[in-house]
Amino acid sequence: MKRFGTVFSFEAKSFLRKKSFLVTTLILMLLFFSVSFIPRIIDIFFPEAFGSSNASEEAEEGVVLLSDDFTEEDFSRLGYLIYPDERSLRKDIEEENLSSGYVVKGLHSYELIFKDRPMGTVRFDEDFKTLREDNILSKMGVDTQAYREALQTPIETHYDIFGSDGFSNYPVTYLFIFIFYFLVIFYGNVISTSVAREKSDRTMELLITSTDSNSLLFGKVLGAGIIGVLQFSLLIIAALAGYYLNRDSFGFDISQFVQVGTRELIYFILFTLIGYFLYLFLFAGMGSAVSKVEDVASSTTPITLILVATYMVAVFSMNMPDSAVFKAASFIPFSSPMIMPSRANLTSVSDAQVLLSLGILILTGIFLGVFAARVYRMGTLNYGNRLSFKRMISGLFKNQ
Amino acid sequence: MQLELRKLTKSFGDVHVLKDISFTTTSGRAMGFLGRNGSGKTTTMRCLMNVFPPDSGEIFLNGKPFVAKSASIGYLPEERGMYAKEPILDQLIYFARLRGADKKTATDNALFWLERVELSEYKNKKLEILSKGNQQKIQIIQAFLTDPDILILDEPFSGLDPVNSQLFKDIILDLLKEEKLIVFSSHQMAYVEEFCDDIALIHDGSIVLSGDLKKIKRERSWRQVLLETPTENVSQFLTTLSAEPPEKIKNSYRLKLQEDMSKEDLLTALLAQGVKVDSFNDYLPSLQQIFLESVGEQ
Repeated sequence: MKRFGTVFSFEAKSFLRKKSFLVTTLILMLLFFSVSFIPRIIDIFFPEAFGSSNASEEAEEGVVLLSDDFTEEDFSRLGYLIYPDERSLRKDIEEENLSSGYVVKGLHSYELIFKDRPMGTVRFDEDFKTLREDNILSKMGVDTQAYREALQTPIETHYDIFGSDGFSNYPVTYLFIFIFYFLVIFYGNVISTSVAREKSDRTMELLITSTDSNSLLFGKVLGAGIIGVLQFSLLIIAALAGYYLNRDSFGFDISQFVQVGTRELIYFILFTLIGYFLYLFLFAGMGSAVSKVEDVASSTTPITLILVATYMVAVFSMNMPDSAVFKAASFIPFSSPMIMPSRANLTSVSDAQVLLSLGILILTGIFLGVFAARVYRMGTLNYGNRLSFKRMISGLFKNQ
Repeated sequence: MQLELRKLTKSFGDVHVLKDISFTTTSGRAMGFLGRNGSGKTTTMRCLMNVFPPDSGEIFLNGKPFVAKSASIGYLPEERGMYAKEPILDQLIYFARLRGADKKTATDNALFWLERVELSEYKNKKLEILSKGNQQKIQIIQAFLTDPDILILDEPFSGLDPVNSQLFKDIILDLLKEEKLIVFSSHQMAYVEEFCDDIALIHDGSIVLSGDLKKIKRERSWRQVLLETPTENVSQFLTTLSAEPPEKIKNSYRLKLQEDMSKEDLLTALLAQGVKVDSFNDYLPSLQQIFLESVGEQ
């Protein structure tokens, strides 16, 4: 590892030198920044979009009363048009003068008539329920007015949580998982392509005859990886800056959702960074196993599948942070970077468990780094042919 | 310094690429490793540089096992591999530093060699903007950056025009004066003929001939002389003097001495007959001819 520093700084600088990289970063930052202006723009053109549902757009609804339990006044007060019979109601629906119609048959029964049934429920369902309740209550001699007012008083509740607040931490946990997933997907392919290009351009022969493969691989992965983290952080900063500028247009406060303790944040950063480099080593190894850049996509598919599977487990098991699957996955080095910080966020996890998982992750990371360096070294041995998995493994144990 | 390859063999699958490759080279002498395309030159060089290990055989430097990485060595791979999209000076410094040079030495040497091959003005440009020949020059000087004792150059002259070839021949001759050990391969025999001290001819993965080129040529002259003469219609007369029918090569004739005749006897006979002599030399076969003959003998 004598030349690690040389390789590291060359690889990092080579990104920073590239105009395409700088331009892409700038464009992406601008994009992330401007996305936060969307609510404000919508506000300008459609002022009511984020307000109450706009009644003006809603077509009218008609009611036919076939029961004495309700009065016409009950429904017209709520904005329904009263029809004398079902035939005229149907006619108006057919001619699209009405969006829908309701035939009230009794205290507990009504019929809904649509030309095209919309998604979800209609407001009539709720209105009918309330009218029916009032009707029954007043028959029982209850003052409905007083009853409703009494119910208006809010209930005071207080949560006393001495572990993790799974409910409030849900959004931030999802954000953690999301950040890790995209970090790996974005930069994993950058790494494997760059290694494969070195191989197909025969740069590898020059490099490998100049210095040791561990320096080359670790320098390359860490150098390019750090730049990836830097770029990704810039994007997040751009998005946050945009959000704070346009906070008033959002109608909600992001800090309500994104609450995270220092301990959990440190876990997240540690697991994400180490897990990210672990995956990058895998991507680099796969990049050196092929001899053409075109073959990179097919050779990295298995890693992408592992990542996607982990993502699925993480997202679907978030509701059950104490399930066996979630627990087990928080120790497996490929899934722990996503799942251990989530578990720590959603439920109580002891420091010992976290440290054990972190230890496993670090050891596996180093092992995979050395493995990738071996594959990288072996990459020069077999120009033209793709390295089979069997040869990769047997080469790992061969003395070089 | 003396570098010795002893019985190197290498196979890829069922293909025997190298069969008992052995040759020796010493510092201060230009060693040409010559052969046709696909004869095994590059594979030998890759084994030498431990890009991959040989299946069997050994390599010694001054009698001790040779380890490419620990020796002070410059290598020009046959397939040029520098980064197309990186600035020239930056990557020259990078490669020098990978081989252990400190930053200042790396920078100074890179600038010195860029100056020497007249490409200083492009130092901050990307490699890919240069012409193929100029890229080739950058790739070659990459091997010189750490002032190595040993230079392994695979096909250094391919892709160079005559002026640039001469430039690098001069550089190599200068380096030889500094007692460097230089091995270079080539398939262009005529190109390197005047310039090699030693040769190793490889054909189908086997060495067919190796050693001091002058000695080899003399051994292969087979009591032949080359006579250059302006006198016309001498063929008839020359036939009576030569052991084999004379071969006309431009204005010259290749003659083989008869068994009881010395060079001096032949010259006396020619002058006595009034044949004008522009030059009279030992006939030395060209490298090309030696190669064709040697391969034919196989």
